[in-house]
Amino acid sequence: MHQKAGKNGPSFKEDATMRFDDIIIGGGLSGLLCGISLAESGRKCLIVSQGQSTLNFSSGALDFLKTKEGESFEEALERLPQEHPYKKIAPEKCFLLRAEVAGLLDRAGIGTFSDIRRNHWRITPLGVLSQTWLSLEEMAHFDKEALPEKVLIVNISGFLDFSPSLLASGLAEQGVRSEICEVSVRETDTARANSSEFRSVNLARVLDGYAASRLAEAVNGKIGDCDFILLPAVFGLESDTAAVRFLQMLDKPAALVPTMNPSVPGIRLQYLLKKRFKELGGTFLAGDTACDGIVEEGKMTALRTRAQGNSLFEAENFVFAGGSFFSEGLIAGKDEIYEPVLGLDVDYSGSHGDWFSPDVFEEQPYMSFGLRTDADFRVSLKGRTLENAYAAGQILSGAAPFRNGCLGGLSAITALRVASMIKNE
Amino acid sequence: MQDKNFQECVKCTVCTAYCPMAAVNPSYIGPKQAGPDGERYRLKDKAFYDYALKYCLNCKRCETACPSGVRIGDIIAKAKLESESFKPGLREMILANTDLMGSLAVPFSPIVNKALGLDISKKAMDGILGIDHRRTFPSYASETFVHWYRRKAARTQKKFERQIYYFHGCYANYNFTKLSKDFVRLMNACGYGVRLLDKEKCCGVALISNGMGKQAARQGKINLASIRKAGAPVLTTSTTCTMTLRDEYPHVLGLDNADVRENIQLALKFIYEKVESGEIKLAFRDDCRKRIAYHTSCHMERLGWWIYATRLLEMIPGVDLRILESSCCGISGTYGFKKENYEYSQAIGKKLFDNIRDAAADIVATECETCKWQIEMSTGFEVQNPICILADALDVEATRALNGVR
Amino acid sequence: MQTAGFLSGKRCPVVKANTQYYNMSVKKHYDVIVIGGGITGAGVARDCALRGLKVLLLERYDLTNGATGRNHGLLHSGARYAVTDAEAASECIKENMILRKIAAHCVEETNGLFITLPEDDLAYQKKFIDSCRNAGIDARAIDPQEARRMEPAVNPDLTGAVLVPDGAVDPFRLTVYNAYDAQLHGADILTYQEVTGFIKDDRGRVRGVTTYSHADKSEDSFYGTVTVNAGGIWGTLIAGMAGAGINMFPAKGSLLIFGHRVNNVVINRCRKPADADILVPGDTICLIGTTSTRIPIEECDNVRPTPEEVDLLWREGIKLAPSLADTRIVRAYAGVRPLVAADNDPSGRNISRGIVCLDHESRDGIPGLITITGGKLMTYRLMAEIATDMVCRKLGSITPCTTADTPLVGSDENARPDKEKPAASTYRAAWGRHGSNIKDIASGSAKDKSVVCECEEVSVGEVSYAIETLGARNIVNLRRRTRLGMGPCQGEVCACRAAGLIAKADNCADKAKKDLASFIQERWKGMYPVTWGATVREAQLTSYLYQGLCGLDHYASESREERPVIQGGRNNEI
Repeated sequence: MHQKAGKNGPSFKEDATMRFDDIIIGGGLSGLLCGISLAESGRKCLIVSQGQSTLNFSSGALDFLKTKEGESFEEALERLPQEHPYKKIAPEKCFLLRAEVAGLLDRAGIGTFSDIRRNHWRITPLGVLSQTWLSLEEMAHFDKEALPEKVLIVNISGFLDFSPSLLASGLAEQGVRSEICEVSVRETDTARANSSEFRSVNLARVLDGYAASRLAEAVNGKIGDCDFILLPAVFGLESDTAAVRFLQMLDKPAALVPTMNPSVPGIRLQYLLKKRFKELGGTFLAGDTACDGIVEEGKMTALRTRAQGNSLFEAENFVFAGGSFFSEGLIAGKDEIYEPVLGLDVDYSGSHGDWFSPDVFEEQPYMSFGLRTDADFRVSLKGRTLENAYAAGQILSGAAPFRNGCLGGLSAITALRVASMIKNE
Repeated sequence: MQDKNFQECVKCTVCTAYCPMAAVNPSYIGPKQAGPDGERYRLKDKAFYDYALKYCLNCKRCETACPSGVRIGDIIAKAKLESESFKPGLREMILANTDLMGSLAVPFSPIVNKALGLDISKKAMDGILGIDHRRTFPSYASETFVHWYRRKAARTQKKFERQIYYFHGCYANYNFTKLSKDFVRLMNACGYGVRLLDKEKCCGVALISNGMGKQAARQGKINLASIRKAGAPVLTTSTTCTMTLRDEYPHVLGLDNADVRENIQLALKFIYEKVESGEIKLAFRDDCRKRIAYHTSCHMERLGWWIYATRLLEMIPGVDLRILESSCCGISGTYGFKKENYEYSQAIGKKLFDNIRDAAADIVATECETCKWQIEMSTGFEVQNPICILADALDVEATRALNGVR
Repeated sequence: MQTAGFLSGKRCPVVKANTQYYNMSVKKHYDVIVIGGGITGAGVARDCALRGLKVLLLERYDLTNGATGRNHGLLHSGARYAVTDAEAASECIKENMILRKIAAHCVEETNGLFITLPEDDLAYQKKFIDSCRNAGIDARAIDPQEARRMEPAVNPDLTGAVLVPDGAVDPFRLTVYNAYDAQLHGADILTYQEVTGFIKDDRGRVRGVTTYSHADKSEDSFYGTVTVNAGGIWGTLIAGMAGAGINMFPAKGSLLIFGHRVNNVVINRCRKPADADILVPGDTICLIGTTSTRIPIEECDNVRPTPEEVDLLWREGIKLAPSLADTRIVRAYAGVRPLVAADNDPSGRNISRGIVCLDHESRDGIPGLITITGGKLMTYRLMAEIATDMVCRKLGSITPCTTADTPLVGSDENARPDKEKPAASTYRAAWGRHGSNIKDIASGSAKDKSVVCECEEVSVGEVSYAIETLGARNIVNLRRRTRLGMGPCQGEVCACRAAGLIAKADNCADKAKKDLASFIQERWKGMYPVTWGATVREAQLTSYLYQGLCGLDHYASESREERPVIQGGRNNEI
C-alpha cells in the first residue's frame, strides 16, 4: 500500500522542488498547532495531510494528564514512567506550554475553558465524568463539587449517535437527577428523512441557521424544575459563535455533550485552526500522502508526496506529526511496525502476539509504540539522529494515552515544544 | 480480480461530514454507504444501493477527506457504470457527448448560441429533455481551437527546441478557445512548441457520470494510445480532464495507464516546476493591479496541485491573491444541468458564492470550466483560468527574450 | 417466578399488540424439557411443538452460543464425507434438499466446487465422484476453465474441479427461527437459564431440572415428563449430572472470517478432508476453516484460535482462493465439535460424526432422560426427528414428524422482494435475513428506516423486531438475530447506537452500558489475533471512541464474560 512514489513514473522527468521553511507531515491537532506556532513567528510552513485527522472523533476537550485526588500536575508528571514524552519537557516548561496552547487557541478564535494548574471534568456520551484539562467553551465541563442538581437532557428526535438514557444513568451515578426529552423542528425532521446521513454534522448544518431559535424555544418549553440543560454537540460546525449563541438562547445554563463520531466540536476546532494557519500564510495540502524523503548526512532535505510525483518539497526542518496507526503515521504489518515515509526508528517490542492485550480495556501495548526520539524530540534513522527532523503528537512512543489520560494534550504540548525547538535554532 | 481498495475503509464516517450532496439532499445515502459499504454488499447482490448512486456529484471531496485512502468517488462511479438501473436517456446522450455536440454546434455557432439563449429553447429543453431552464449554456466558439491551430499555429510550433503536447479537452476546443490560444501563446513565449496529440477524444468524464462507460473506455484507449505515442509531457488546462486521464481511467474504466500517468500533467504544474528549476523565465507587465480570488475546484483539491496555480499567480506583480476556502460550487459538470438537480446544485454552491462576494475581488480564478459557468451564472463575477490570467499579464517580448526565443 | 429470556417478563419488554404469539406466563410443567439452545435443541423444540407437545427449551446463555454459532455455515452436500463416511454423506444430501425447501430464507444456493490443485492427486477425483454418486450426491466433473468462469476467485492453477450442490446456511437464523417457530406453536423458550441439576423421583426417574438464571441471578425449577439433553459438547456434563456417562471427544475447530465475499461458490479441496480446506461465502463475508484439535472438556468454555492456527488457515485459504492473501481478516474464532465415541469404544478411536441418540433408561437405568448428540448442523432436523420420535414413544404419542415438509416461519411464502422496484438497502438486507417475516418489521416511519448498523444495513425497525419478537435482550443477541456488528468495523459504529436503543426499550440504561462494554470486549477477542493493517486502525479507532470519547472502560469491570455456574456438574435428587 505504501508504494514509494519515486519508483513510479517515467524516467525522463527530473525532480522539481518547492521550498518552505518548515514542513509538517500530518494535519491533525499536533500538526496544526505546530504549524500555527511556527507561522506566527513568520516562518513559511507546509502541512501535508493525508485525509482528515482524529479531531473528527474529538470529545471537544484536550486531556493533559490524569491526576489523583489532590495531586498537582507537577506531581503527576513526576510519577510518569521515564519513556513518556512529557518526561522530555521540564515541568516549568510544561507549565508555560499549557499557557501557550490556551493562548494560541484564543488567537485562532477558539473559546476554551482551562485551568493551568488542575483538571476539571468533562462528561462523556455515557455520562461518565472524565478528567480533562481544556474544554471548548460550549462543552459541558464541571467541578465535581459543583454538579447541577437536576439536568434536562435534550435529544433531537431520531438522532441515534447520542443517547439521553445512557447519559442520564451515568449522571445518576453522580447523584445528578435528570429529565429526558426529545425535540425537533421542521428542518431537523426534513434532514431526518435521510436514513443513513442523519449525523451530527448534517444536524449542525441545519441548526447553525435559522432553526436554532425555534429549537431553543422548544427546549425552553421543557425545562420544568431542571437547573441545567445538556444537549448533544450538534451546534457550531464552522462558525465559532453558533454554539455559544444557541446556548445563550436557553433559559437555564446549558452545555453540550459530545456525540459519537463525527465530532462537530472537533471538526470546528480543526476548521478554525486550519483557517488560522492559512491566514498566517501557511500552505495546507489536504488529501496528499507523504511517501518518501531524502536524507543527506544526518539531515532530512526533502519530502516526496504521492500526488506531486516528481515535485519535491524542501525545507529547513521537518516535523513528523502523522499520528498513530489510525492516521497511518505508523503502520502495523503482520510482523513489524514501521514508519512509512522514511522508515524511521520505531520503539516497539516483541512479535504480533505481544502487541495486544486480550482485555480490550487494558492499555494496549501497541498504543504506546511510536517514533524513537532524543531529548529534543528529534527522530532517528537507523540509529542516527536526524538533526532537523522532529516528531510530535500521537506518533511519539511511550504515551500510553488512556492509562495516563493524555489524549489531545500530549499532541498539543509536544507540538508547541517542537515548534519552540525549531524557532530557537 | 476484485479491486479491494474499499476494504481499507475503517468506517470512521469522516467522508460523510465532507459530502456536499448528503448535506443538502435527504435522498442521498452518503459516500460511505454508496461507496465502500455498498461495494461490500454489491459483491453479494448488485442491486444494493442502486437507487442512490445517481445523486453522487463525483466531486471526490470524500476521497480528499478519507484518512484511509479509499477511492470512494471512483467506487461509486464504477458501481454506477455497472448498475443495471442507471441507463442513459436522450438528455444524458446530449450532455455527455460534449465532443459530438461541439463539432455539430461550432459551424453554426452564431445560431446555436442565440438559440440556446432564447427563453423558448430553454423552456423546450426543460420540458422535453429535463435540462433546467435556469441554466445558461456555455456558448460555442465560431471556430474550434483545433481548426485555428492547424490554420494559424501548427507551422510555427516545430521551430521550438523544446516540445510539449497539449490535451486541450472539449471546452477549450469548442467553447472557450481563448484558453487554448492563450496557452499556446504562453508556452511559445517560454520557448516551448505546442503539439497536438495524434488523436484526441473527449476524456470521457461526462460519459462516465452519465452511464456510458463503454464509450468512455473506447475513447480512453484512443487517448492513451496517442499519449503513449507522444512520448513527451502531455499538458492540460482542464483539471477534470487531467483527473480523468490520470485516475479515473485505471480506477473506473479499468484502463492501465501506469506507464504514461506521470506524463499527463496540468500545464500550471509543469510551468511552475520549470520556473523553479530555471528552465522557464517569466516576465510580467507591471500594470496588472488586480485582486484575484482563487477558487480551488473539487478536482484541483483532489489533485493537490492548486499550490502551483497560486504560486504562479502570486508571481504577477500587483496581484492581490485571496485563496478562497475550498468548497464545491455544486455544478459538477453536467450534473447541475439536469432539472432535478438544479436546486441541490445551487444549495451546495451557496457557501462558495457567499465567500466570493465577501472577497470582493476583481476576478475569480479557477481552472475548472464548469465551475466557471456556475460561478459566473450564480454570482455575476468574471471567472478566468489562471493560464489566461498569466497570459494576459505576461510581457511577451520580455519573456521571449528571457527564454531565448527569437 | 423469576425467569428470563425469550419471553421473559423480567426484561420489561414492550409487547406489541400484534405479537399475539407471546405467551407471557411460563408454565412449570411440560411434556418435554429440552436442554440446549443450539440448532439441535431448537430443532427438537420445534419438532415437539409441531407434534402438539408442551415443550420448554432451556438455554444457558443465548441461542447458538455453542458450536452452532461457531462453524462454517456450510450447507453440506455431503460430498466432503462421501469417501470416508457414506452414511453421513447420504444423510447430508437428503437434509440439504429438505433445508432448501423448508428454510429457504436461511439458505443460499451457491453450489460448491471441489478443486484439485497441482499438489493434490488428481486420481482421487474419480473415487470422490463415484462415492458421491453412491451417496446420491449430484457430483459432476467440470473443466478447470469452466470452474474459473463460474468462480473467478478460485485458484487458477487448479487441475480439476467437481461441481456439487453445496450451499451456505446461516446457523444463527436457522436456530432463531426454529426456536421462534416452536414458540409460535406453543413452546416456551428461556434463554440465560442454565440447568444446574436434575430433579429425580425416588425411583430415579428424571422429573425435571433445577436452573440458575444468569439474567436475574436466581434459581428455579421446571418439571417435564421427558427431558432431552441437546447440550452439544456440554451434553456430557449434563448427562453426568444425571449420573450417565457419555464418552465425548471435544474437537476444537478454528475459523477465519474475511471482511467481504471473495467467492460466491463454496470452494473445497478435492482430497481427504484436512485442515482449512473449505471456503464458504456467508452473507456479506466469507470464511475459511477449519482446524481440528482434541481438547480437554474443561477447556470447552474458553476456546481460542492459536496464532499457529490463524497462520495455517490463512496459508491454506490462499491456496483455495489466492485473493484471500490481501483480503482483510476481521475475526478469528473457534468452536468445539461434539464428537461421540461409540459406546463399545471407550478409546475414542472410532469416532463417528453420525447421530447418536441415547435412551438413558435402557442404557443407564435413568428413565425420563434422552441425549441427542453427535451429528452436525446439516442433520439437525433429522436429529430432532429421531429424538422427538423417541420422546413420542415414551409419551405414547403417535403423531408423525412433519418437519421435512413444513417450512419455517419466514420461508413459508415464495414472495421475493420486488427486484424492479428500488428498495432501501435496509429492506433488501432484512429480506435476506428474515424472509417473509419482513412483514413484521416496521419500515414506515423515518425512525424505523434509520440505519443502525451501516456495514450490515440493520435499521431501527429491524432492531425493534429483534428485541420485541426474537427476544434480543443485549447487543450480542441483536448481533445473532440481525448481523448487527458483524461487519468489518465489528460494531464500532453501531454498538453505541444499539445500546441506546436497548436502554430505551428496556428502560434500563445501566445494564445497557455494561452490556456495551462486554460487547466491545467480545468483539475484540475475535479481532486481536488477526489485528494487522487496516484492522489495527479499526481497533485504534474503536478505542479512541469507546475508551477515549465515551469512557466505557468505567464499566469494564462490571462486564464480566458469561461464566457457567456448572463446571463439573452436580446432582439434585428428591
